[in-house]
Amino acid sequence: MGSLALYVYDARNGPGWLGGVLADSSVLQAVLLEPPVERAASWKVLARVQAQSVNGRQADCFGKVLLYFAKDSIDLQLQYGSRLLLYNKLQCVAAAGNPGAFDYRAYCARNNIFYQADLRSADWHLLAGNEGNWLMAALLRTKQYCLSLLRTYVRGEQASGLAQALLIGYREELERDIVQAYTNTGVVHIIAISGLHLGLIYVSLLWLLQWLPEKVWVNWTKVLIILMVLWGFSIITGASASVLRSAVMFTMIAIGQFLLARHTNIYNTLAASAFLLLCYNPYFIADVGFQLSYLAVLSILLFYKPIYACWELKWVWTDKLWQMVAVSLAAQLLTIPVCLYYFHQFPNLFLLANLVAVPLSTAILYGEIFLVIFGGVPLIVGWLGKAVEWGIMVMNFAVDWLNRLPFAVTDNLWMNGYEVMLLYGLTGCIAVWWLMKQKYAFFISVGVWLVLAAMHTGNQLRAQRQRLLIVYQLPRQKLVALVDGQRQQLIGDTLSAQQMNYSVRPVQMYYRLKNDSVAYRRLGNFIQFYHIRLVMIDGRDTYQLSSHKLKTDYILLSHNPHVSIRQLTQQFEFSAVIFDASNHAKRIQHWKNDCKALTLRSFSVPEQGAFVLNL
Amino acid sequence: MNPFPNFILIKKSGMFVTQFKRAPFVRLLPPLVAGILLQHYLHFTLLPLFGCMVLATVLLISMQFWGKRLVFVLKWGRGVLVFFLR
Repeated sequence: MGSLALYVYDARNGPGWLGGVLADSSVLQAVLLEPPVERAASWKVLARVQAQSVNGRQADCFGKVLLYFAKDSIDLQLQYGSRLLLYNKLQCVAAAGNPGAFDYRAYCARNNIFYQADLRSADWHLLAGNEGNWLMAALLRTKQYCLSLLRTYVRGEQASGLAQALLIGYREELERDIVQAYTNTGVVHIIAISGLHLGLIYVSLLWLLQWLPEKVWVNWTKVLIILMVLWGFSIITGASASVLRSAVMFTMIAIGQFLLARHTNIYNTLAASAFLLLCYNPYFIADVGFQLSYLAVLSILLFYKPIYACWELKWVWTDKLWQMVAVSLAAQLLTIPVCLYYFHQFPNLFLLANLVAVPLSTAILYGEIFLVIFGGVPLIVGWLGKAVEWGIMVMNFAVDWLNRLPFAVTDNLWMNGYEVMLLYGLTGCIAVWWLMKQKYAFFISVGVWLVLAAMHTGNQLRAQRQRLLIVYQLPRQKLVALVDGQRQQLIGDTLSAQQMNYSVRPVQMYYRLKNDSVAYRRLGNFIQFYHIRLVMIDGRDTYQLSSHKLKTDYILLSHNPHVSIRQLTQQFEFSAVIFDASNHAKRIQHWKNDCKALTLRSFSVPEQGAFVLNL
Repeated sequence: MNPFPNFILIKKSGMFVTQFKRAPFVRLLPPLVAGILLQHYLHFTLLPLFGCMVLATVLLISMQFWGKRLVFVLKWGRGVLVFFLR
């Protein structure tokens, strides 16, 4: 059934799949599935292609595509449900990129998006009419109303961005530094909409509806109201995996409690929600939010009580504090391995940060809910906005202060999939030994730990022996890395801190690189690293022609140099030519055609991802 | 005190088997995940998929009726293999 669910979900298996019928000279008809979102150099929007017209003949086809409108070409009338005619400028979504980095192509493929297009004003035309769903349109209008209220009454970009993320999960205006600080201190879960938000709404609705009498029709009404609010909120926030998990679970709990008068087994509810969501979208299994959400809930269900029972406190407030600590500790037990696998760091101060941020964020969230409810009363909204702003500033200050402490985070923790599995095995065995008093589990855990240590040592030794030449995939940038063991030398353009963090650091983590500076030979644009020779030809530099043919292994072309492949063959004797991501796509295509005609090996970094050569 | 009140421990042939009380979806989830992973890595087309489903159904039904006999045959098969390989 799992296989069938995935087969049915995969758009490529459907009749009329866009990729199977797409013609080069076609005109496509598309409908926008969301309002356009502003990016640094463009407007991004997800659309669904409905039909294509080739030489005047129209045929139905379907497929989701990402459209990037140039900033000067965007029409302000574009909105959810707008119909467009566009020339076929579709290209495959960009390749995986650099080793260890986020695989955007795979992420898009999991969402059934395989094509994207950069559009200028001459490439598309807005058609009359709107094909959007009225319910979805109403929910999007509610979202825009909430956003405009928060932008008006919560002043300051930082506070406003965080308020939007906290209430409806809108992260477009959230500053990256803030997200990093919340990640480093282990409280990023409060700005990702999850069970906490839906739980607060569910409890609030139960409290608000408690005055209603206990009758069958009243119970039906209660459930209907609760489900409408919960699912409406889930769709407004973008229906991420963690939100859907909570929504399905609360739906089951509400139906069990009010309609069937049954108390459900929470493990069954958890498994049933996962089962339903995986039937709806089997690729949720690879979603980090889905994995962390389920693991955190399972971890709390399994370990909260035993941890809480370890220490009995008499004072009510210290007991409450211990409860919060126990929940945080329990949630971490099963989420640590996945966090290490994806984020390669451990927030050492997660306990302290959670103690501060969770109560504060709960209060802020209630403030924001009241702000939306009293949106029409300027006096109340003004004061509420100020209170929310102050609350956010205090929370940001506390999180930022914790983040600045020197021991706040342990990073460079690289783990592969096998190590993660073993870590789960180890956690499970220790849990069985500790809680169920099974001695055999202790011996198994020692065995698992030994295997884990051996695997880690093996990986470390392999990292110390590696020698690599890497050409990074960085848009409009040239960067080459020479790797010798755990040391590396970067050669190329100067990068921003953001590029270093999001593009270079994952590669360093993947290959376990620690120190800079590597011994290599360089003469002008010629580089020799052990036995490999590389010639770097940059469009911004000028070169003198050599009188005789030079031998090299690879030629790297960057920043659109005015050379043809035939000229290169006259000057150099080489085995392959590499085009990095600083070149224009058209020029790369031209060079690739030349290479094909001359039967030469070529490698296009923007299309195939980073070039990695094992020496 | 049992730290996991939702678990039942069953001692079965020297090994502890942990089961959840009244939780059918807990048992349904692992095969679903296994199916998704299989399809993700092996990319079955529709025909083998239906073939596998029919085969699995037939196997499950026959296991209900012929389970004990199947175990008997497997044990004998293993005995014969061990005899010849030794």
